[in-house]
Amino acid sequence: MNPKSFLGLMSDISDEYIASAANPHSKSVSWYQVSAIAACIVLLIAAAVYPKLRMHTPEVTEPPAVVTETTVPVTVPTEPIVTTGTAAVSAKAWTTEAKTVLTQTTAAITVYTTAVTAPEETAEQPTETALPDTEAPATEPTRTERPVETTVPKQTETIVSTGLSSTQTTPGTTSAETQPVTVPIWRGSLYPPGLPSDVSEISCTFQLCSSDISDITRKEYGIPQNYDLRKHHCLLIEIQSGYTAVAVLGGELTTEGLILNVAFLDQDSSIARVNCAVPLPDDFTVDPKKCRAENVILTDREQFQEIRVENPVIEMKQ
Amino acid sequence: MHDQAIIALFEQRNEQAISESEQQYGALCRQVARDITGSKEDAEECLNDAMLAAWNAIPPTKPKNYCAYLLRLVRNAAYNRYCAAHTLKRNAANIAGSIDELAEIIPDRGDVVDEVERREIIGAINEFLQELPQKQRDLFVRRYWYLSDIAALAEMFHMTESHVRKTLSRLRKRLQKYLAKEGLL
Repeated sequence: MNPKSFLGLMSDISDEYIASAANPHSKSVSWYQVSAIAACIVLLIAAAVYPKLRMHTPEVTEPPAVVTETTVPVTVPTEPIVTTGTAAVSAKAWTTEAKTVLTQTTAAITVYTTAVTAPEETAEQPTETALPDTEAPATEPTRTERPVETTVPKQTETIVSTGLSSTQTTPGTTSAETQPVTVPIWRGSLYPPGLPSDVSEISCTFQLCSSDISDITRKEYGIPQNYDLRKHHCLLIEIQSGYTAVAVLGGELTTEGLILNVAFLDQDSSIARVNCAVPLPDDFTVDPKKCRAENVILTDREQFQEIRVENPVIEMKQ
Repeated sequence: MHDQAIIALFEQRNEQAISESEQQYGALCRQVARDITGSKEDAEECLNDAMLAAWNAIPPTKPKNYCAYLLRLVRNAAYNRYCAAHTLKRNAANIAGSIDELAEIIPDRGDVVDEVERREIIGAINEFLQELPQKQRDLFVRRYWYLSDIAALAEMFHMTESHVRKTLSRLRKRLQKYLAKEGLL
């Protein structure tokens, strides 16, 4: 054998090797191809991970829109809500006090209601409804839900304003310029039956929200679905009145409790109600007994529209 | 057109088989022949000879790998033309270079290789190539079967010419050890 004959013998090697060497370019992966593949993989991973990272970021806590007032007459309540006091037909600020009562249900829930006391300057003497004698010692608010009956409310005049958004907000939002921390006021979209048709007084109840409320109750008070009640607290507020419209103007939350500013429009007999919820910062404890509403009753619709707040918030003060 | 379709045309004695082969593998065949003969005209004649040989052989021959079969016909034609002419043209330096390189490992004993030894050597070469990584195998075949020059190999495999030479040198030494182990050198 010699080199020349060896080259001749090479002619008879396997077809597979001949065909394979015919197009060696197709097998070699250049460096830029490897770089492009690596870049695509990185982009895919980033696209998969980025949405999850965004979900953990606290969302912007902008004040929500103004409360939407509606007047919804309701049927006889299933649970007696003890309210006291009457409403004075004048543009006066009413201070309500909270009292502790027991409902007739056997559940160990404490509902704190507000009693409206008539000022001295009113023309007519308010008639006060006496509190029941079954006043029991206050107990810790427990987690119960109100039963919801499916009754169709009678349609009355509805004043629609820019509604509250039900977006999840983190309690304790600070605006860009002001130092006080604010929390939004969520407004409910469902109204359970139970309000007497002849409610003539203002009733404002405060209670701490249970962690295991139903979706319907969440909607009642406008609590966003993604607000984890097992980790955070929430204060439920139910306002009922025999006025045409009601608007929550804002409020102030201190260690002494919540002071809620509410305005009513008195033009014709109706039932105005609003349910709302206030998310509480984790380091803030609120005693519903110490919560109260400061009410303003107006007879002029334009004045009522003027004082309504676009995005009412609760200011936090330590 | 697929190789099997081209073979079917051969079996039907349809002359379109030639045109389809020309279209599919003509450029590659001319390159192989040109690398061996160093002449464009000779390469064209080698291609024509290979096509005639394929037309005469198919059928009854039915190659499993038509591309390799056709390339082998072209290579044989070109190599025979080179051996008969014993001339080294300008572009045939690569075949001379390949012969010089192989001379490092295969002494020129001048003896005739009988059929048995021929089969043993071919078997040993196939086994040697099977053990090589894909890229090195292609490089070896490209150099000593296709008889491509060093510059073309460097561009083809994205290597420098120096790297190509060193790689081929290592492969030759490895082949030498293998053939010696098999008792063929």
